[in-house]
Amino acid sequence: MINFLSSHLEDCSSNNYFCFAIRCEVCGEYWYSSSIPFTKALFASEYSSKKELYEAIYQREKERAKMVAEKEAREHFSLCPICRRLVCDSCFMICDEMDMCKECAYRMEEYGESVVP
Amino acid sequence: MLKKLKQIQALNALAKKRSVGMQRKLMLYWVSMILVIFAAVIFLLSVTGIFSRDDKQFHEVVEVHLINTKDRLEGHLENLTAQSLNLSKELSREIEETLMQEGISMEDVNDDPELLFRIQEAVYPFVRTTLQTADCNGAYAILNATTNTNLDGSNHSRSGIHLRYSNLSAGQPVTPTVVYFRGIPDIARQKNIELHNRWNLEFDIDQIPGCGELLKTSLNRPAEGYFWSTRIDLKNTWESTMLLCVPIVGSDGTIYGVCGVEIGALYFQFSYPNTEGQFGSAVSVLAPIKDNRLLLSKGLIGNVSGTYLDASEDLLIHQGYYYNEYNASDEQYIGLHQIISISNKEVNDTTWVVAILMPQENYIIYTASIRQTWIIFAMILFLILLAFSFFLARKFVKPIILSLKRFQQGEITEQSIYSGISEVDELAEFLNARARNQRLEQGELPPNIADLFDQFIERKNSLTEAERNILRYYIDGYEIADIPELAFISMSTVRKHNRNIYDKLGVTSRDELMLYIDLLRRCDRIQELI
Repeated sequence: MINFLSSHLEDCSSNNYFCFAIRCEVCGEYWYSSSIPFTKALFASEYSSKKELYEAIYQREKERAKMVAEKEAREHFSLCPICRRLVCDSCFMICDEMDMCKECAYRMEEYGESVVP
Repeated sequence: MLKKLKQIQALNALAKKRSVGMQRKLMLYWVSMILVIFAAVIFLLSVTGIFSRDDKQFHEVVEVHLINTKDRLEGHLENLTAQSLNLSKELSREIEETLMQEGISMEDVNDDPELLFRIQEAVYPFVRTTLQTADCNGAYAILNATTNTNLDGSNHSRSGIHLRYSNLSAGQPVTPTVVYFRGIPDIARQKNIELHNRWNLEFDIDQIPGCGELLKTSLNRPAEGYFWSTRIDLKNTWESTMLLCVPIVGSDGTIYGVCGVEIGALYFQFSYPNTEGQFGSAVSVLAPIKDNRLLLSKGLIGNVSGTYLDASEDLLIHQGYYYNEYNASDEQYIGLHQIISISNKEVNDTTWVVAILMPQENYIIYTASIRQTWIIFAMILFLILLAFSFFLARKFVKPIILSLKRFQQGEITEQSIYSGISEVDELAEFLNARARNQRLEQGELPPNIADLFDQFIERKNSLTEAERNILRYYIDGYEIADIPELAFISMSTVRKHNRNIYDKLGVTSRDELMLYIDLLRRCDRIQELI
């Protein structure tokens, strides 16, 4: 699931903050992960002579922020077992036989309740 | 004897070894207690005199009757004695005057019919008056002289007058007929009196016990030597009578003769009627007593109707506490007697008694009915007590037996073993707990836990397939954090599923759910959940 989410994470980070987004494939809404500030952002001038080192620290913290975002996204996104799309809790239905996205549920006339009303 | 005692002991030991039902044993105790109470009640009743009440009552009734009869008889005899003593004095004076006029003694009167006639003629009015005024049926005067001393038997033949009533009946005669029983017949003709059909000229004094001896004695006063004779049969008649013999004493102490009154057996019967009471017919008796025998043959008996009392029998006396028994040859009588003094000088030291007699048969019949009532009452009471003891024993034992049966059949619940008897309930609880522990030791679940599991498994059917899928992860040992990764669903979806699963399975937390799963796994029932 994490690997699957990782592939759907879109990088929205800046030089000062790390942030990632996932787009629900049903409703198209974006979900944004919590912003995590880059620890060396205020000290960029000090690293002007050590650009490679600065870049390396930035990448390392970004990877960590991505992992945190993945965990955070795991709270809100499910994989529809029918259409294999990644959908948000608003578009994911809890049905009797199997949980599925609301489009699949509508198509197959399965009645259920969305995870987040 | 010792051998038999040992046999009885062996039987008793065998009986003790035998197992007896609780109800039967309790019933036995109850019956024993009832018998003890019954015995105590009977003892108390006997001590308080309930059972001897009839005897006591009989004693009181007869005693009152006896006292009344004795008083009456004493008064009767005293009156007769007084009148006879008066007669004696009158006759003494008359005879003495006649003898003085003739200038002879009493011995000279022998063989002188004319003088005897004159004396009897003088005596007659007094005898007649005494007969008419006294409560008797005859009066007489015997002179110590005979008409012919040369005749055989002249030594016990004495001249005299004897007047009697002949028409005695139960009612008072309107005009009593006086008959001339003894005496010179010329006087009877002169006085226009009918002769008795068994008339004799003179008395046979041998017929009157003590009379001959009295004529031979010498006394100062007539009161010194009077007596009542025992009952004698009047010669050549069917009648018998008792004579009051009062000496006719001259001024010099010579006995001129004997006078007095008579009470015949028939007259006594009419004078002393029987009394019908609750215990039967009571007969009054005046008779001498000798060697513990009541000599009816020598006494007088009142009216005997209602009894078979024979005047010729003598009754053997058995003294009792409340009453005496008087045994005849074929009949038995009960009653009381008291000594009565009727003579101044008894012949042969005779002791006279007044007695009240009743047939014992009547008394037995009377008391038998009362005894029967008592027995019926006691039996009914005993049966009621038996039924009561049976009811109590059954009521006491029934819940215990019911509890034991349920226990034996394995229907043991906290309610079913309640018998209302703390010891039994505690025993049942103890056995129940022990059985429960044994089952737990053998791996068996307590009944309430098993029920909970059953209900839990039953509730599992209400889960949807999606929820069951989540539950299966838990059963497989995964944590909640593992499920989004495994099921490709969000954590929010997992939490929502969890809430539904908890609601439907009746648990409040994941820990409780995991406890159920763990216990079911231990009991090898986890497959039922999957």
